[in-house]
Amino acid sequence: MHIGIVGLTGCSGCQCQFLNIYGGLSKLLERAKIDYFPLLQDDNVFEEFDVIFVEGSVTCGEDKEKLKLAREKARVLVALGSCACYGGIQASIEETACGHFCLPVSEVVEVDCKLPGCPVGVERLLESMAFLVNGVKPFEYPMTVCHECRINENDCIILKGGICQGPITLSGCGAPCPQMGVGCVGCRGDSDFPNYEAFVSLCESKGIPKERVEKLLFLFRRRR
Amino acid sequence: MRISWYLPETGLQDLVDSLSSFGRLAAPVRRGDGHVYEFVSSASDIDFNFTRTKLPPKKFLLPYKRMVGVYHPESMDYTPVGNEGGIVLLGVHPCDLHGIEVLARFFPELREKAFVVGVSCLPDEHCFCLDAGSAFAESALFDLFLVLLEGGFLLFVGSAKGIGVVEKLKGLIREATEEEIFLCRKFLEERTKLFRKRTLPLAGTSLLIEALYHSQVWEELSKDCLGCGTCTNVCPTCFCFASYDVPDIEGRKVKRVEFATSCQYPVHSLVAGGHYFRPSLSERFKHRYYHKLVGYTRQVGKAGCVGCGRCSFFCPVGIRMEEVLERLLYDQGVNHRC
Ligand code: SF4
Ligand code: SF4
Ligand code: SF4
Ligand code: SF4
Repeated sequence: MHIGIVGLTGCSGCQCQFLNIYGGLSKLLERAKIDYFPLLQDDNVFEEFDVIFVEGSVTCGEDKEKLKLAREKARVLVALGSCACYGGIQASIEETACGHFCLPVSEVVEVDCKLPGCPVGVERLLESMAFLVNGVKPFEYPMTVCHECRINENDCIILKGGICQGPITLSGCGAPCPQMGVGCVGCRGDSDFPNYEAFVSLCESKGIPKERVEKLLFLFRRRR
Repeated sequence: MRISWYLPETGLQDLVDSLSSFGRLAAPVRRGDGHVYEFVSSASDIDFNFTRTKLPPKKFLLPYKRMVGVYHPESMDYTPVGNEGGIVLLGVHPCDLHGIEVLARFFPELREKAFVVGVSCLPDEHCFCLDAGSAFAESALFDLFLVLLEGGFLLFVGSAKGIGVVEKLKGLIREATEEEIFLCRKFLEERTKLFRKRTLPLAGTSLLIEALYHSQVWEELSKDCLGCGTCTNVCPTCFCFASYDVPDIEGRKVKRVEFATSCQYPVHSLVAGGHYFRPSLSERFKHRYYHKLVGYTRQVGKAGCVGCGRCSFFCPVGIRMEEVLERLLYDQGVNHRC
């Protein structure tokens, strides 16, 4: 099995998560060859791939070309991290200064699998790798961050008077932020059919003006 | 044999020790702003001063995420992975005892799995077990029940296993005096007075709720709902789960994992072909009330709401089970028309 890891416009944090799967990485290398990973290795070949992971958003012609080539060469293309999945924080600025664009990977080419997160969680990455090396699409079951947060029996930030996007954010991270007492900022993007209106009124009832809520809300989410 | 005993406070550790043969013991301990059931070995870690734990004892009976089996991807030889022995749940309030009873009607093996010790409690403004018919241990599943008194516990026996434990504690416990039983009666009386008064017990409303299936109230009240799933995740009787098979990276074995899900998530009603049986928020919102109060009653002869108040207490937007029902049953004048 041949794997490639391609970086577009992003912080490389999600690519680095490959190095944080420790024991998992050596197991992976027994079954797959990493042909292309410029962040990690000097010798890279770009030929045919079973799976290519693409990190980052598309912000220039060079990104676009790289991505289109990756799509041509990959049997399975995975959008790795929230920049690739939704455009990332850089996409939350509606108009970039000199009219540049900032697109999620899926708006340029067809994507087979999305692994959001800022950065993508190590556990989730490892589990997805296990699926992919066995030729199976990673299992997805969209719930909310609240699901994981409640199951961990954290104290709820909203009930304490704060703001947390957990109720309308896609599960899968294990709710590390509320666990540390910080409200979820929605880095994993939307849960299924999120009720923005109710969330905005909840925040307004806590004295946060609508414009501010929307700024927070679309830090990571793709504005529709 | 007498069925009520007095155990002095100092005997709690002995009780804990005497239960060890039934499995690991979980009891309420303080964590953060609330209480959680945790494995303990020392009685001094236990804190009975709580109204509701963050998660119900269900978390041990039907774990939120559980590996249920392993198979080989080629031979397909499947080996079920059983639950690791018994468990003792110490310090379970009557609502949760009834919650366990409800679960056990769906999953009969739970009756054997746990040794359950109930404990008396006082309600807050979210508790409505009195209306739900689950404010007392009677007719629920328990082996022993403790009523907290000054300096000790009244100990009631609910099963043959419970009698066995009492035998082991001989020397530490003594028969309860009539005065103590009188004190217990007084406590229950005072406790009953603390509940919010309602005109119609929840236990008698399932037919009305069914008849109001198309009420506008559902649409209206669901507008505030974030669909976070907290209400079902904290509920002692919700049991919905989904499962998936996850291979290991070597490709040598595949684990089958079951995990709790919620009817408040759209994916819960998604079937092959991309069809959602409950596509709208109000349908999902209504479904929970309908299943708990109408569905369970038909399925297992007991409502799926035991009035523990967790869903109301933990809902991030403050949607309250009791208020929704009051709005549904009263604001439309249903009680006046009869
Ligand atoms: S802290 Fe956030 S994620 Fe956790 S239960 Fe509350 S709203 Fe949900
Ligand atoms: S809790 Fe929210 S912000 Fe934190 S990792 Fe999860 S999705 Fe991202
Ligand atoms: S806890 Fe409240 S907001 Fe969340 S799904 Fe239930 S009713 Fe809706
Ligand atoms: S529906 Fe709410 S009040 Fe009723 S048993 Fe479940 S969590 Fe408790």
